[in-house]
Amino acid sequence: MARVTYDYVTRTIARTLGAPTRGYFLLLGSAVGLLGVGIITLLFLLRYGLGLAGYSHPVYWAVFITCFVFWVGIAHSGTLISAILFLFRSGWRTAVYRTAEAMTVFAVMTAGLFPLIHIGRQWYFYWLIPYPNERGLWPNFKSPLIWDEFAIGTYFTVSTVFLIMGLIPDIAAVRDLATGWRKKLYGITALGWTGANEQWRHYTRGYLYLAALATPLVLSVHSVVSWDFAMAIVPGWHATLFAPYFVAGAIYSGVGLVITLLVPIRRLFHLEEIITVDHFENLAKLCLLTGSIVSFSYVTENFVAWFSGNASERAAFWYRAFGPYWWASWTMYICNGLLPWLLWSKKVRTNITALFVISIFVNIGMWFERYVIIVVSLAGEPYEPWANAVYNPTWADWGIMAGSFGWFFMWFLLFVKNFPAVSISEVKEVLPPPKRVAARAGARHA
Amino acid sequence: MAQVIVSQRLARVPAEASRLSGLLARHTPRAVAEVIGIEQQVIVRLATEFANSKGGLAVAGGMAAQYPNGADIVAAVNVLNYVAGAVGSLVKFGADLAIGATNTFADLASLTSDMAAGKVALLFVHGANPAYSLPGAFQQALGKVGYKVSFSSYMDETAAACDLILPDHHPLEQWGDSRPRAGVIALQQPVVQPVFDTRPTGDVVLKLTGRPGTFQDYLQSKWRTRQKTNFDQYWMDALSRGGVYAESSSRARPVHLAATAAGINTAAAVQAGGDQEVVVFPHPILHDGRGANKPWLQELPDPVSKIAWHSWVEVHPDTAAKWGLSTGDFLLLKSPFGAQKFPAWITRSVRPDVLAVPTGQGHSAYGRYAQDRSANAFELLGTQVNSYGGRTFAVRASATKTGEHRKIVTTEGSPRERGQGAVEVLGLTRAQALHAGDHPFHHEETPEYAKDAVEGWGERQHERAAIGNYAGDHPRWGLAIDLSKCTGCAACVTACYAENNLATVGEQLMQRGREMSWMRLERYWLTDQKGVPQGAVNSPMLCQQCGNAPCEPVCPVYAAYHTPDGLNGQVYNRCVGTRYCSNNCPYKVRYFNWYNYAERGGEWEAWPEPLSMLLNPDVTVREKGVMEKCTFCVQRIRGAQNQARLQDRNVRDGDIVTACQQTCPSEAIIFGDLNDRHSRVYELAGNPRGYHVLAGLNTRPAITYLARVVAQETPSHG
Repeated sequence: MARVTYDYVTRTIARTLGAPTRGYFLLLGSAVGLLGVGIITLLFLLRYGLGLAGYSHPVYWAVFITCFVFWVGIAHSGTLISAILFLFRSGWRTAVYRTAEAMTVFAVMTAGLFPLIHIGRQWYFYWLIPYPNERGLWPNFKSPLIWDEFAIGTYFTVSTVFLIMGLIPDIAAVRDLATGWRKKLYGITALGWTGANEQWRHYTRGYLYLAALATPLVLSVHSVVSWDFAMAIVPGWHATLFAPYFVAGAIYSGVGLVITLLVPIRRLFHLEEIITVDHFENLAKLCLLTGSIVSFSYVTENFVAWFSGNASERAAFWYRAFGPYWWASWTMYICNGLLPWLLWSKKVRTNITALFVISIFVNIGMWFERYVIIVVSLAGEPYEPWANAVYNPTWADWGIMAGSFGWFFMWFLLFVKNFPAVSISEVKEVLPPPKRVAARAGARHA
Repeated sequence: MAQVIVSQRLARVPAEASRLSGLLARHTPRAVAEVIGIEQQVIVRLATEFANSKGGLAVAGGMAAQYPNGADIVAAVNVLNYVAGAVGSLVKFGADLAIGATNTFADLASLTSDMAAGKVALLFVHGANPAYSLPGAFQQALGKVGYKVSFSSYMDETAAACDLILPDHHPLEQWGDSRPRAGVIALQQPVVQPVFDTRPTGDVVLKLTGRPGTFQDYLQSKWRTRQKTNFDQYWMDALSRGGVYAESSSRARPVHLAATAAGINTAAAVQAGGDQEVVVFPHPILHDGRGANKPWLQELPDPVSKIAWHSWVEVHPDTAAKWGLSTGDFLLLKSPFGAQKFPAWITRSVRPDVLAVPTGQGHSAYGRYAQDRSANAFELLGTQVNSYGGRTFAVRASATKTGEHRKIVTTEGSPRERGQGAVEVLGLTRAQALHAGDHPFHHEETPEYAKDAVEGWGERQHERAAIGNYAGDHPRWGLAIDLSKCTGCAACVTACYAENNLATVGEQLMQRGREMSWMRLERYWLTDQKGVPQGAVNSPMLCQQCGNAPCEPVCPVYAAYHTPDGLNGQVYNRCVGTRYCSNNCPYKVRYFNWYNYAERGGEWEAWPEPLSMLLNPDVTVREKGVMEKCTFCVQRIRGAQNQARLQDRNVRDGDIVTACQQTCPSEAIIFGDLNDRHSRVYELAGNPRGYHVLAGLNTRPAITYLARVVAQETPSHG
């Protein structure tokens, strides 16, 4: 750790902004390519209609809403790590929170696209927004979709402000090292930061308040998203458990993706000494905690379905586990219910490769969780026995989903190359101050 | 059964019946039970019930009369009627039915052989498509005819093979009359101007014979011979009543048992050709194939199999298990006359030793909707004539699995109702014991624990119903559907397509569950407590126009909203297509426009020219991306209300008739105002057989179903 000094931190992190390699362009190119697939698919959907996707009566929500919930979920760990852990003064967050926060913002940007893509008349999406109009029409504030729009809008605004605010001192740091057009860019975006004591005093206060403001959002956003389902009377959706269950699941998947993203960043940018195994272990513990809550929710959900004595609920959960979608349900139960138990072992928690693999399965599992909740609950409609269907996604579903990954990774890759992906100033906060180190070194020499 | 009736003296058996003793002695319940696989006790019970019933009547005909031994079957059934004393009272033999005057299949068969022998120089074909229904023989013989003229309005197989086509007017465009039985003459007058450049065949024939005038003049001149004085009045009356109706003048002929009656051949006819008995039956919707060119009929699922857009072969589950066949596997049926492939549909509605195939599909011409679709069952049939001159609709064929498979296009979800309360059935004695004010299904609708919550909700709702447009007295539109009257014919479904501009989506999209039928007929199999199949119950499912509709609060833009008269309105213009309403609808009766079905030249165009003429101008054609559902024919409701307002009166019960109600042949559907205590629907809604589907969800549906009454006492549909 002795090598990790203030200067080392600044230089190491600033190096991540160096000239991009061919590998970087290859990655960025594939992301943009995927996005292109998504855009072309979207153009087809706009021209011909949503029929190109796999929808089948009564499965009227499917892969698009699955992706929507998936990406909103991903967006959760960012604010958890940056705001809640900040309030709890967890020192380990400093090395990982910037990545998590950027991921949050881009994930919300991705998630926000899905409700627009999935509606039948995409060009009238603004009718969901309350704006004064000559017809005197307001949206229906009773509809959970309107709550959703507010929850996500608020979350996007606050997390973006939070990300930008955290970036200010770091941008100033890289501004001082940069040349050319970047110097200008950072000069503007650093908003005149000089690192003066007065600035720091205001900044830390402001950051604290913003963290306090963002904290309830971590819980509220996904609670509201869960109410899209819980407020409906579909068996398999209509459960009071949904809010905490969704929040835990969201953080679980978010932390999973943070690990998935940090492992290659750490390797490619040689940040091993800044993002240490300890950091990963802490993330793994968070994963274990939230994963256990999710597993517990599965147990509760199934128990309540049985205990309620409600035939429709029982039928819905039976269909889930043993119906034509058993493979999706068991992927979910195994990836989210059993897999986190591996993390009880410290050996696994401190093995970066193992964590990377597990984190990918966490996200596969969480994607399937949403798929199971949405598609399987609708397909196995237990109220009306005549109306059930077996739904199969089509190229249009996969095209839009691929596009969403392209969109997300495009922003993320642009971000890590242009802004410090690890907080320079906050990592320094947890380092021992240099003079004290020098003094200690001097004392040893004497 | 006749043997039981005679031997146990269950009815006043005519004295002449002693002549039958030889025949009946061979058909004791035990002997029959062995052959047909129905238990002896059941035969005895049926015989007793039949003989003791007032007006019990055994009806012969339908498919059974088309078997090789059809005449014997009909004779045997009449023996049953005879010993039960129904002949002479309920069964009358007389010469007043026009059906006896028609030509038989034997005539067509002899014409075909004349044609094949080159004896026919000129052939007129009108109102028939023998090249399709008699493939092979007729088609080949047609080639030998000197000059062939078709009067078909459509390019069917026969027209395509003719030298000259003189298309006739559509029946709605022309004059005509018919005489179904003595005393009744139906008169047909045109209701629309001719749409295309066609000419009534009557005019053509008159012209050929060199007579002056049109067919209309000719028809009228014939009618003049019937009424010499005051003809104009007589004519106008006949036109307004659709004909003249008089009691049949011919009296029933007294019937004596023929000496040969005892010689009825009851053994199954043996035909050569294969090891499998194949029955070819008329498609309930496409009939003999004439319906196949109409997308409405193609898209309407068969009432029993629920298959649309293609043909199938019905296989008993035991047979299927024996052959390793699953639904959708193709069977190649090879009879001595032809071979065709059909996908299997596995059902208990056929015997294990019989396969059944519907007619109607497999056209090689006949327009874009019929052509090259599935297989033609007529190919399997020959030209044998049975004993009374009819065609034989059963052949022996070999059946082989081809290894091919297709996905069956069916609207069937769960074939059983699983006790969800989607349909209710009542045993006969239980139904008879019901009194006014009974509600046997009430406890199932609202569970005990939910009662307080539901009632409390109702009271609060009452208070809130006095706000804005909702204040004051409004009608509450409702339907009553009597499942005991519903035969499952599904005419209501197509009526809804016609009235409400529902798009037909075609085979491919229907396979993906994209059909738009606002009304669908659900067919659930019934079993008794032991699991033995006991037939089915049909239930039309459509928007229940809930009083507390789950679809309404979830719509973010108020496209789904509650009208003051209790309808679940759907504002197409406001809908952005989140489809949340459908997810939250427990009845799943909302349908989404996945494509623009009205796009000119589009891949999914539902009304290509000239079908756009089908569109009802009173109803919006929906755009892609919006949700739609049953409106209770709101255009008719508003029309009747406007009419009433113009006449300065209130809307009367019966003023508003929904399309489904109008079309229902058994009057199973009644529409009206539930707030009007004198309306028919109000009365039916209070019927003890009434129940509401999924009322336990507190949806307060406006549709009351009246439970189907079935013979078995403890039916189960779980």
